[in-house]
Amino acid sequence: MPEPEDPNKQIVEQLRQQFEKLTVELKPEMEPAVVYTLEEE
Amino acid sequence: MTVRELGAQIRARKMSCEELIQRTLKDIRERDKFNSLITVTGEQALATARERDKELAAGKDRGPFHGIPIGLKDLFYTKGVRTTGGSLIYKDFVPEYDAEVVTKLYEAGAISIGKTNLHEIAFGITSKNPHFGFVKNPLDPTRLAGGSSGGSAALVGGGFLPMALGTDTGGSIRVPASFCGIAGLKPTYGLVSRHGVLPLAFSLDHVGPLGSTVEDCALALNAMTGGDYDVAAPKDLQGLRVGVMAEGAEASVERLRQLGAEIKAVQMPSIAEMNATARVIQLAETAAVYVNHQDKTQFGNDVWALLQQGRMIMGHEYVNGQRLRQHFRTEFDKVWTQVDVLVGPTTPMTAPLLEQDTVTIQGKEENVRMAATRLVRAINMLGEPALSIPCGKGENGMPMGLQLIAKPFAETTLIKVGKALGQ
Repeated sequence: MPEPEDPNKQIVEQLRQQFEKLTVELKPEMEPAVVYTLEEE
Repeated sequence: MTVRELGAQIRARKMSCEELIQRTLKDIRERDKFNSLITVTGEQALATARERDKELAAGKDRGPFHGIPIGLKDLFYTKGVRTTGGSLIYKDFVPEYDAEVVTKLYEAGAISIGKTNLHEIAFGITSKNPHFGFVKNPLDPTRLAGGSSGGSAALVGGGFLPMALGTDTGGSIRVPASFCGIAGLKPTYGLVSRHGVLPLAFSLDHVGPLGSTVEDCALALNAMTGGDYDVAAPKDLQGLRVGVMAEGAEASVERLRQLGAEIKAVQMPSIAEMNATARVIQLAETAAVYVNHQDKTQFGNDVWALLQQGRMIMGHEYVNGQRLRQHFRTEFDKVWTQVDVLVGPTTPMTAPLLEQDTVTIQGKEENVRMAATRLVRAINMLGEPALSIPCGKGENGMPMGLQLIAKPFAETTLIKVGKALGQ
């Protein structure tokens, strides 16, 4: 009998499908959000 | 009672700080059947209260929080007091210093009575903690208090404390505030220090207050930032432009209209798309935080499953999540040219029963976590300030929350609107 599929993998695949549709809209020049800012020493 | 009401009693010498702490600890011993606290610091609280009484007698008044009992979610470092994160990993962790916000609240005169229970490592919204007990809703102990700041919400909602501190990575202040019928404020990302706070997802974590009123939240924000957020309730809301983010809060929208606000249609990015992006970022960041914790027996099943999911997110997906975040951030700036405030329900349902894993909303069965975070999660990714206030009751008699969102650093707008709505 084949092993049942890992439910976590299923959840991530579902999320991935939704997410990959969004990344189609990304243009090369679009940069990541800047989360951290440099602080002056 | 609120922070100001308790403070007025202390200043009128109707009770001392020590008597207030004694009364609070007694109340918790007798009435708190909700697993709200992991560690009670009664002796320390009483000793501090005696110091605050001496100060008042000598003419030193630290302000609205002088002598006021508060709770600290057990993610905040507290010097010499264990900080468990609701996890077996940190069950014996005793920090050597206080979190920055804890220091600021102490300097403002607040007295911590203990460390509040939470969803394990703050990664979830039920606060069904397998190690420290399920946090129960003080309004109906058969129901969830919400999470991850469940213990803080239960203590405020149960009338034990006027304010307790929480954190919010995907709704963890606003969801329990909604379920427990209190106010909860997630400030703008970066406004409140995260130094000395156990992280869940670095770029999504926010620190904020849960209060019995909007004023309590505003006063806590003052204490934590040194700002002046406790603005007066306006007599009306003439000139305020309000957009409806999600259906389900029609009575509140009508009340806003009656107060003079202009209700406008608003163009905004898809909440579902923003949520998907936020999930990718959060799963990856939390997996990074817990990369060296590979022992499944150290975690509850739900948290372990989420950590496993995070380990499957690939590097390019995380980076693209952050690129999409920037895109949504830019798009959302356009929202603030159309309206000043967005409103909608905080959660699409009231507090579920403790044993419920799913809820049915408009005929569709959904996982409780996914449903409860649907209207709040994206706001963590954007970083906007968001306030949840009570707005009536559901068919089962449990409170419903109204979420108000404003542009970055416009906390005073939220506080004004919250107060205008009578909260």
